[in-house]
Amino acid sequence: MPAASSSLITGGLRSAAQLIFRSFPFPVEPGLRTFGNPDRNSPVFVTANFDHTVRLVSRVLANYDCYLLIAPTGGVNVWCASAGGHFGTDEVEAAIKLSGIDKLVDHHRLVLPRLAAPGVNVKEVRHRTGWRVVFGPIEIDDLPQWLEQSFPRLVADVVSFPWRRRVEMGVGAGLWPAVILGVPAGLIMGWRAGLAIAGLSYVLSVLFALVYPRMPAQPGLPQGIPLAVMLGAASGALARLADVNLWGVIFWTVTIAAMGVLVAIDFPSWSPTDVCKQQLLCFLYPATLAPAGFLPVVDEPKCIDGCDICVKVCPKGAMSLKDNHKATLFDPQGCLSCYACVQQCPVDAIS
Amino acid sequence: MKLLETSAGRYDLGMRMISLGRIGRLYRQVADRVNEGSEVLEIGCGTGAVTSLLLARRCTVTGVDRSKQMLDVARRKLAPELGTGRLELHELNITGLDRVLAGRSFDFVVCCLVLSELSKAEERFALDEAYRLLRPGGTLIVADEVAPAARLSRLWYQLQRLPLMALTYAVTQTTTHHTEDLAEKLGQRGLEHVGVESFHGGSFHIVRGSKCLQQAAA
Ligand SMILES: C[S@@+](CC[C@H](N)C(=O)[O-])C[C@H]1O[C@@H](n2cnc3c(N)ncnc32)[C@H](O)[C@@H]1O
Ligand code: SF4
Ligand code: SF4
Repeated sequence: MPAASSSLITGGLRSAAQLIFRSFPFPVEPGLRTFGNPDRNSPVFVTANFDHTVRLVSRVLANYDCYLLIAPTGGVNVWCASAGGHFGTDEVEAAIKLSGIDKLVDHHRLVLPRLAAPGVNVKEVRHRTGWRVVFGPIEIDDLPQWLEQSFPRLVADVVSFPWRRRVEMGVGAGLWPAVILGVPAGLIMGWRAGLAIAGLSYVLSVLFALVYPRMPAQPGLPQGIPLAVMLGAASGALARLADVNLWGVIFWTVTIAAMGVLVAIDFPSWSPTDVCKQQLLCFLYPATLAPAGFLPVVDEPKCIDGCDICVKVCPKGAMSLKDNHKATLFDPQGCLSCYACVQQCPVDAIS
Repeated sequence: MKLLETSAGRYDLGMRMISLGRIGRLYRQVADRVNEGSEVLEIGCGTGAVTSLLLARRCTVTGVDRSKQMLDVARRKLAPELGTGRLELHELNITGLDRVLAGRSFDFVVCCLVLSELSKAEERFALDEAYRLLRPGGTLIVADEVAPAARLSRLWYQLQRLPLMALTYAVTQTTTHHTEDLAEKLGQRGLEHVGVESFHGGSFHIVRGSKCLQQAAA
């Protein structure tokens, strides 16, 4: 087989595996990657050592002469790692030292992904390593525009969750209900029922992902309980119509209702617009920097008039400047408790 | 052993269970290779299992570990020693060693069950740093899991590890791996008299090497 097509196949298989097992880390070796023919003035970017992230980032950086430092974040993506304490000051220091970048460029400026803002203490990085940190845009696809128009300035940018990404996450999220419900269903009712439950889990997860932004209730149980009731009732009724025995009716009602709850309470943790505040099923990485339900409070006397770092850095656009030029949280509903504003305030005025 | 580190409080008990009680003996083997009364750097000291044995040998110990939870357990266990000036503990990643311990050097550097948790780049950095922090004539001791050389015991070793690996991955979403070619890696860094001792049917190695005395002048 020619090398090109075989690498296409392995690349495809890898993508497929990573789509299905999206909630698991896929670490790549931390250290230095080089793109084009960088010289001593070329920009230096940093990212997490999650394979999928590295591939997306590499695709964009391939058009530049630059360096990419891959930080050892445990194979976890940028945001989960940084909000969870696995992509912080230590990991940026490690990225600098493991890559040997100090010897390759004359400037000392790192471009970090915006969503690393919750974890990385910029002042501490500078103090420890002499490197200055600037934050790029949230989406790597926006990097070219930012480099052209704004580099190295911090610009306001908020997370979005377009339908393509929602479908992707819906597929990734389908694994949990498929396994948690499909395996027991298979053991109790036979492999056909198990497969059906697993398949339905994926269908429900993707459908839920598609309608997610239009859901009437708040994410979590407020969405989960009505969904469970509706799905349970519908499948119970269908089972009756299909003339299965009482045990079968109970089985399908309970299982499909459980599927509804599982999907509804888990999916918000896949959504960049809700992620950090949905800790119900985030049991695998329970550690977030901010305590659950944290809302930032600004200490006004400390806040520097007209500085708007927290306003720009907030990935939900939940902070704003008041008439007295001091910052405030004006959209508590929108706040994710991600900690970025606290971490990035230059005078530690937010807590 | 990442699984146990997520609940640092149960780490010691867990290690004893997984190793079927043998871990204590291994810790002792590691500590016994450190001269009494010497000055020791322990990288990745964790809950202080080896540390306490070193202190019992009247060593002065500097322990570093990146995990606050693990260090908290160590601080509790070693509380009486913390006031004596014979023990310092630092919450520190390996990549911060050059910054925090700049200018210091040690008779022994000990690294037990840590390299198996590191990526290749981190391992390289750790070994370079360990070498640098040794005084001339000092000894580096690394103790870690290896895959047994004989094919059959290798297979058996992998099979034994499988359930533990799966469980570890499920809970912590990370893996550890066995270390490889430790003796060679010590040799490449200019360590002399490199020796390998094998335990547990070849699945655990203690590798030692000493830093050449003349190197100080060079
Ligand atoms: C398996 S425990 C071994 C602890 C102790 N040496 C023992 O034998 O019981 C590994 C320890 O290495 C630490 N560790 C892993 N990677 C590290 C790093 N990059 N920097 C510092 N410590 C690290 C972990 O926090 C953990 O406490
Ligand atoms: S206001 Fe909330 S969402 Fe915005 S940066 Fe602060 S903690 Fe994060
Ligand atoms: S980042 Fe700090 S100083 Fe700047 S506006 Fe926000 S609260 Fe004020």
